[in-house]
Amino acid sequence: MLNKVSIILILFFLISCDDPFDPLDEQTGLYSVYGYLDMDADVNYLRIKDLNVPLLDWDSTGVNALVTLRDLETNVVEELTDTIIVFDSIITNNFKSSMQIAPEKQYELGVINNEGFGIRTIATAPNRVDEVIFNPATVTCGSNNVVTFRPVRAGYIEPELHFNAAGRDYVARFPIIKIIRENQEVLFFFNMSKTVRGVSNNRASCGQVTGKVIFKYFHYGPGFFDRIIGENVRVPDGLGIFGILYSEEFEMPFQIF
Amino acid sequence: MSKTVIVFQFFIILLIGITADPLIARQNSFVRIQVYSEDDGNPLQGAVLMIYHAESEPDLDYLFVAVSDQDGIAEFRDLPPDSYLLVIRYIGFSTFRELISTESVNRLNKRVYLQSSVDELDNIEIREQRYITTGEVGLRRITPAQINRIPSPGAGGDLSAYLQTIPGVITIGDQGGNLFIRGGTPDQNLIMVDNIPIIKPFHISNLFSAFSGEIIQTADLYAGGFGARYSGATSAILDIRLRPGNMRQKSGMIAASPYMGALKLEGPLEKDRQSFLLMGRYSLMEYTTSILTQSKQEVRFVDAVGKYTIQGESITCNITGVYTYDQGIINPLREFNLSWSNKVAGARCLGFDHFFTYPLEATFGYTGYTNWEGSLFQDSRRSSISQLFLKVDNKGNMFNHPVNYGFGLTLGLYKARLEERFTAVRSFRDRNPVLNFYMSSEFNPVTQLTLQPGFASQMSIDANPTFEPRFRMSYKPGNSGKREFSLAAGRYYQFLSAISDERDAGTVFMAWIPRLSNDLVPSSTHLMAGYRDELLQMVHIQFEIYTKWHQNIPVSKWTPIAELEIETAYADGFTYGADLNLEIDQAPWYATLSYGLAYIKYESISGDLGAWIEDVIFGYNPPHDQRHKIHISSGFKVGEYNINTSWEYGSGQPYTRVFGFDLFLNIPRRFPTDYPGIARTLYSEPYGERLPSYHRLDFTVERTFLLKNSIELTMKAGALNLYNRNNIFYFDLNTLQRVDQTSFMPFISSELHF
Repeated sequence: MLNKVSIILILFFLISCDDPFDPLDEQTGLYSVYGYLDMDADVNYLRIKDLNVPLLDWDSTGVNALVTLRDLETNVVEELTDTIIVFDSIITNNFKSSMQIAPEKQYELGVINNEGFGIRTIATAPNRVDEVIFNPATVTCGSNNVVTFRPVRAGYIEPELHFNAAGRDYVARFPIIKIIRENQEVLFFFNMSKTVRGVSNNRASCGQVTGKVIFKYFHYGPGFFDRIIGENVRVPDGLGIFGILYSEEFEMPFQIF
Repeated sequence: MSKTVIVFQFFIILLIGITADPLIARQNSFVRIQVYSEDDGNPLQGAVLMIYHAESEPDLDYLFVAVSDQDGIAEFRDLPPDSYLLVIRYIGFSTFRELISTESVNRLNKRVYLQSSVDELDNIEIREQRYITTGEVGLRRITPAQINRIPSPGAGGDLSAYLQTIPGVITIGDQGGNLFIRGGTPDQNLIMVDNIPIIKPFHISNLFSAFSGEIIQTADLYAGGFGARYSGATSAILDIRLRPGNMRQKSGMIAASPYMGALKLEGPLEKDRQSFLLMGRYSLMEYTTSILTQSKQEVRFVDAVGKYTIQGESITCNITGVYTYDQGIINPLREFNLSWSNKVAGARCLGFDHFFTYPLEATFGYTGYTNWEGSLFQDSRRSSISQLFLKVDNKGNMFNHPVNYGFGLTLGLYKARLEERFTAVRSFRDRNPVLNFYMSSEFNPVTQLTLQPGFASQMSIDANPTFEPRFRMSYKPGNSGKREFSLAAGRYYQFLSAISDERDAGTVFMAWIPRLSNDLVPSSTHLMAGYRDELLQMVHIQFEIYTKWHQNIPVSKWTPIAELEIETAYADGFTYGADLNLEIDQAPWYATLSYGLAYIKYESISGDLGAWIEDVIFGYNPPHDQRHKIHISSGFKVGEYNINTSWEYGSGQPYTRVFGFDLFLNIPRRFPTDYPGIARTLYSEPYGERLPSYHRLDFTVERTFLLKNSIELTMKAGALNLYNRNNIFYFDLNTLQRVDQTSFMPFISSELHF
């Protein structure tokens, strides 16, 4: 009798066991990277996310990976250090780099776990533009202005105009210019009257512009906007964006007429 | 001329073609018998009525046979003027015999009360009813005795627990109250109680519905291939009939279990003429599950069902009302509340006066349903339905064939406040009247063959009329009626459908919408065939194969931005499968074995079904694609104790694996130290994996004690998930933690019948 009871108990124990299953596909994607290196900044931050860690998981605060930045020309390697910032209960890991970025050099970011798997992605720094020429030198409401960048060897140029009109600050962002030919001269045209009306949605006119007009541009390295593609899977917007840029700004004289 | 006008004119012409009963011209008679129980004065469904020659020996073959319907009515038509012997048999009742004459009357209405016989047992009744049904493919007729056999932690049995034992009826876990029937989704089912539509009478714990076995007369589940009488659903019909209150004496029941309290009262308001039936139940699960089971179920529900019946000499009317309220948290890892409520009330009248050649049935009433979800402090989504409806069902003759026909009008008001979750459908308030009518007939080209062709049509103000042909057929070789081949096919349309978030099993919220687009009315085509047989008068075998094609199913696209919004797409669903049911019934012992095999696939009809990976997705197996389901139940009596067991196995259902949790940052506009980014979940192949299989053993033992003055006390003890298996419900994608179904759930319950 005791044996029968034992057998039944063992049977119950066995059939009550759970079938293992793994809803998390840990092999397809490991990390995502969001950030850029500013060539003029002393310190840069790159967001690294361990894709296998849920957003609300408070038990895991660090990224289990070695994050490095390598200068592919000199082979100098910097090990980036983690800084944790919490936004509304969500832990983010932002890795700090102090490496100085030189123009037209390539840098490899590595996010590698203990088993040697992870992400390696290369970013190329843009060249420094030698000359930025404004013609005419003064911006007026009636003028058509041309800004010449010389030379731009690769990457993208994104111009911006900052001004105050009718008591409000505006930033006019213009379409990004992709450099198709290497070592070309880039011309950017703008009309101040159209720009003010467009950015203010016709709430302000060029005649209401007061103070200075700031011209700013970003020069992104080649492939800056390319998404990081996973080896095994393609997802919308990729597994991040990593690139190098610098920016410059100029104060332009402004007259209504 | 619009299609609506053409169809309407066609229907009018058909109605005109339905003539008065031709038996008048031939001077033959018809006899209408109403069969009632002497015990409670209520109609007896399933009584077998036989007409013999007046002088014939009882052992000879009968001349005519009929079976009483749910209102206890059976009719014999075209009887030549003569004297006959009427014999009525019903298991559990003494046989009734009486001479009747049609020589001097053209129409005879007769009311018969059958005396109960104490030697008969409930379970024999179940077997007897199998003789009387024809063309059963797709149909499961459920009786209270069957319901009460399934172990349930509440007092008595429950319709919901029984339905889940049927092959082809699938649930996602054991909470949420959603039933998927042979490939169809919950919104593709039409549920009716006393001919009144009710949207979701199943409680948040799948163990319970608003319908206890105590108050049900019958429940017909058409898993597909249903006839022309039913329209407005593309998958299945659940037609529940509540029993009337006792017409002879007052009685009641108080029941208590750790998970529920119940009270039932019934009795005559006027003997043999008016009665009432009231039942209410209140859940206690939120208080007791934390003590008795491994995990607290934060769910609560209440239901109240009432029925008033008045029986006249030539008319029967009943007023039915149902109220349900459910609230709770399905996913204990998230503070996310789900609620729904049904409020339905309606009246159904059946006139069977001499004036009516056939009984005329009319139903009107109101159906209200609201479901909402949100945090504990704020509703974020709400969808409601309010319908006023009128239905008329009648019979007539056309070209010497009986014709069933009817029409219905539904005036619906649909409201939704959806905020951000559904992008394709915004908050709305819409009125949508729907007119429907149907017609069907029955032919017997040869004695054993019955053909039931028919059609239905629905139309709305801004939708084209539908044409929905239906066909059912049965063939009974031999004369025993124990063996039957049957076939059913039909085309179905549904103007009212719902969108849910398939990505998240932790919510069962549905946004009900009258119609998404003129061109995308959900529809389906069913084809099914069945065979049933009876061996040795105690073994019943039923085997069915079926296929369904669903068109224009609104499904949610799996965008990577989880929990923020739902993009909808349209899919076609293809389902095929087979069900086997084997019953052995040898009182006081019984056993049933059922097996269901199913294959369900959704395919895109317009491009991409899922945007969570950059490959185009054209097809997937939805989460209710459960390939195998086995259910075994048995019961026997040991001394004074009734023992019931039930074991169920379900193979794993599809789910989508996750390969990442990301915070998307719009570089270079957003700087990592200034912005958290947008949360997104990265999914692997859609429904590419299956959850572990599921199985559970339930057990009850009960005994009834007879106390003084006919008061009975029934004590029941048992447990669900007896071997405490960790059956997964689903996996929470936000926390990567599994949520399990009910663990070992012991109970002791008592019912006091007075």
